[in-house]
Amino acid sequence: MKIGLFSQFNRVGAWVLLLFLVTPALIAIPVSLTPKRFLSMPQGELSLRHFQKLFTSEEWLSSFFQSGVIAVSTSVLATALGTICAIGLWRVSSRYSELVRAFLLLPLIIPQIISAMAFYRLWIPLGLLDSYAGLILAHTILAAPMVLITVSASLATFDPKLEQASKNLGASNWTTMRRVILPSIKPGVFAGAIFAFILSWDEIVVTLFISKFNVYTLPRRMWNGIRENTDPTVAAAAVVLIAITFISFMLFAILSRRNASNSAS
Amino acid sequence: MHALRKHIHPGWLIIAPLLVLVIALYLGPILNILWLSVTDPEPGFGNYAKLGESDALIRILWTTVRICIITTLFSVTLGYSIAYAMVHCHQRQKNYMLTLLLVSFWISILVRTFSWLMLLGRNGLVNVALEDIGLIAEPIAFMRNELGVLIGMIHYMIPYAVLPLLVSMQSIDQRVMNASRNLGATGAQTFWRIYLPLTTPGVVASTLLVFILSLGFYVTPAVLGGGKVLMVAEYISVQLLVTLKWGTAAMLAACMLFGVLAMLWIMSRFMKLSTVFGGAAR
Amino acid sequence: MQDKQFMKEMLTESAHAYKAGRMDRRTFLALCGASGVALNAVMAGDAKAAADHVVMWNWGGQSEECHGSAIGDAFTASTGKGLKFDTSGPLEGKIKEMVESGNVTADVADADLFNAVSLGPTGHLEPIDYSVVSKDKTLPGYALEYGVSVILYGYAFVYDTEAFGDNPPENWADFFDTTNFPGMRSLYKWANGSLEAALMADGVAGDALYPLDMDRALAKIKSIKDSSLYWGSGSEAHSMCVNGEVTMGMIWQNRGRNIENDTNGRYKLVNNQAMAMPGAYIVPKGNPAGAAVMQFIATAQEVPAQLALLECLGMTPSNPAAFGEIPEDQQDYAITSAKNIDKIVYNDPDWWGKNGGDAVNAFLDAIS
Repeated sequence: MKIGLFSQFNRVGAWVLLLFLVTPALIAIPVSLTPKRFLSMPQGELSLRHFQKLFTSEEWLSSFFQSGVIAVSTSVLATALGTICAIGLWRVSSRYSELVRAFLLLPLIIPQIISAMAFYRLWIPLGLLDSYAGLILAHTILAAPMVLITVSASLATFDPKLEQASKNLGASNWTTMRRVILPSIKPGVFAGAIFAFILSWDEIVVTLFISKFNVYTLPRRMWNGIRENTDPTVAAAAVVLIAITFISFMLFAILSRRNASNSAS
Repeated sequence: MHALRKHIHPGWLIIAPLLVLVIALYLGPILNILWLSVTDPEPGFGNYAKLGESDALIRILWTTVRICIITTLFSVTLGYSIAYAMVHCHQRQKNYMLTLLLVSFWISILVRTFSWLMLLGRNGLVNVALEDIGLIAEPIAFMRNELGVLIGMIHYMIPYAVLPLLVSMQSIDQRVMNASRNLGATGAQTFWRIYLPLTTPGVVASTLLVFILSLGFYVTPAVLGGGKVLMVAEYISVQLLVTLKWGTAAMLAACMLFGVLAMLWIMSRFMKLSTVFGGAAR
Repeated sequence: MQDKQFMKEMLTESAHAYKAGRMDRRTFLALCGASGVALNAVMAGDAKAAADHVVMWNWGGQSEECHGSAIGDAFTASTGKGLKFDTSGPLEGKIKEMVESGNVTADVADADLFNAVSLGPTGHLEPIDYSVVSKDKTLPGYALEYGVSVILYGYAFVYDTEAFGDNPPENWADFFDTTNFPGMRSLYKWANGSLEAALMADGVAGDALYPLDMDRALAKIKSIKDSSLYWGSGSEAHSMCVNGEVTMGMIWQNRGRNIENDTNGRYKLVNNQAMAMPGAYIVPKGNPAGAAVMQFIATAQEVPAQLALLECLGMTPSNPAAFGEIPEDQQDYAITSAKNIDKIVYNDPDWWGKNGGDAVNAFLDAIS
């Protein structure tokens, strides 16, 4: 592949931008080691007390776990619903489906505080207040539009004639979807899944309204006591998550390289 | 209409689950709250009339729209650059880039805003370094103003801009580019006239996502703006939670909704939706 | 809302009856069922538990620990009821929404006294039972129909001793004087305290502040707008001082000591003309624990609880009997200690309850 000058220039620029993107992560590392009980850069002294708190405090660990469960569930549900909805809209492709597409953006457009109140009002008679199910449903509704957007972007470049060909060869709708469409739109589905996960993982506004005692997610714990000062455990948590991401990617890279060399030989 | 009644496209069956979920568990209470815009504190359009009387509300809406447009412009452009680089390099480099991108997702807003203040604040690392070198005498005000808000928001939004663009770029057939070059087009021509149009769905998805997400932002602007950059999402929150002027809050939310829908409608006039969202062969 | 209220009351009474043994479990469950699925959710699945606990709605963090140790322990010892915390923050809008939805899960909210004036008359709060709670154990004028002040926090300012060490600012007039005292300022974003400070800086006497002259106050605020930052939460105010972003910062007075410590003494608290803000306990209408919550409030008014809150949280006692007992090392930092009590100004919850909403909006318009 010939690399033009512009392309090279752009690549350098992209790396600079990526470093810009991870700068807060880099800063989180020294901050997590501060000996003080508020977010600050350590001046001389380093302390592992925040990591200690994170790993030994039952409350922080439980919040991590709860957030994990809720975020994964939200991601799975939102991705499933959003993906098939996007495929359906793509198939129908009429004036009505475009209206529905715009309508389904509603949870993303409405300010979160208003969504929070809406969920609160409805969740009470439904008995969903302060429950895992209630939170997962609410997050799913908020996240599904993002999945819709990314999967639609993927579908936009999917050649409809491929679907037609598959059907002509005798495959059922379901088989076509599973073996022809879905593999081609994997990038869109993954992007949507990631967005849905992050939305749920970071979500605080709706969570504050619809959870009281039983559910205490990580953001709630991070925002706890914000009136006084920000607990540096937040930075420790960020560093842990960053470490997990790096390790996962290294494992993924090693595994895929091993697969490649296996298939090559 | 007759055609619809006679033959409902089977596609609606899989559209239904999400549609029913949103209608059943979301639409009702939302309309209920938005209805407050014409009933609280008194029935009528008094809340909407405030837009004409109060110059502050217009200012807040304009600040919001301005910041969101600038954020979207920069995020999508910079995101395009990153996505383009990622698609045109080897798998290993691409993995590193993807890792860095995803790492930035993990950082909670509390850590981000603190990091920015630490880096670019009055006594932050950058200002102190520049002063030590002697390049500046007074610290540069990067933070606690609109510039700080933009930096914080663009930084947050770039990953959201990159992913939909990546999705779109990955499916572009490289042979089309080669064909264009073989036919005598320069690199620039190929880019502007072939590549960019092919990535339109990604650009539209990216722009839409980033713009709508930016509209709802308020923690980052509140902290990085030093309290001086008031955006509509924060104002709505204050009306709901502190001043109890629920009618005003509902009115502003309704305005946001109408605004975005109007924007979508205008977009649909200018672009063939089938190029943006694709379409099944009919 | 009436129906829900009725069902709530009926169910709470049944819960008491069940607990006292006057009703068997089957009947009680049948009653719950007859009232509909909703009520089960309302009672968080166990109405019996509701009668055993008092739920305090506050902001979490140190607040949770301190209220637990300062008041909760004594309360549990005397009544056998536990203390639970809802740390999501009792903002006025949330209290209103909670009561209107019929699903009241908090007994007492750690809020401001002006919330009692704005939410009480509209039927969102229970009146305070002054046969249990005492009107004398707080400052005169701070025991209102729907809320009673249990502690005082307030607005004061800290200044950078490195900037103004030899010529320290002494009052709000100095705070608003950016010519003689150059540098940035920080003010409270939600108007409270900032408006009064502006008026005092403009020459209005501390006891002649109310009703607030909004135009005059906002003009003064705008005069230093270019040198001002505005904070919405304690952590922002804290970080502005700790990071040296301001040479004088308005802060919540009860955090003054923390800021002095966290900046290693670089920032010093000025209590002159500090504004005493009554922090109050208010009871959402239809609270689950019923009348038991009044006992909790009464416990909070006792001198030992008051002093414990001062020690733990920095919140000044509002019980006059406690003023004389403020320990020596806290005297500089407590608003109502002998050292400070003559210098302070008192916030009027009545004006803020009636005009707060408009005041906040006008302030936001002026600063943005």
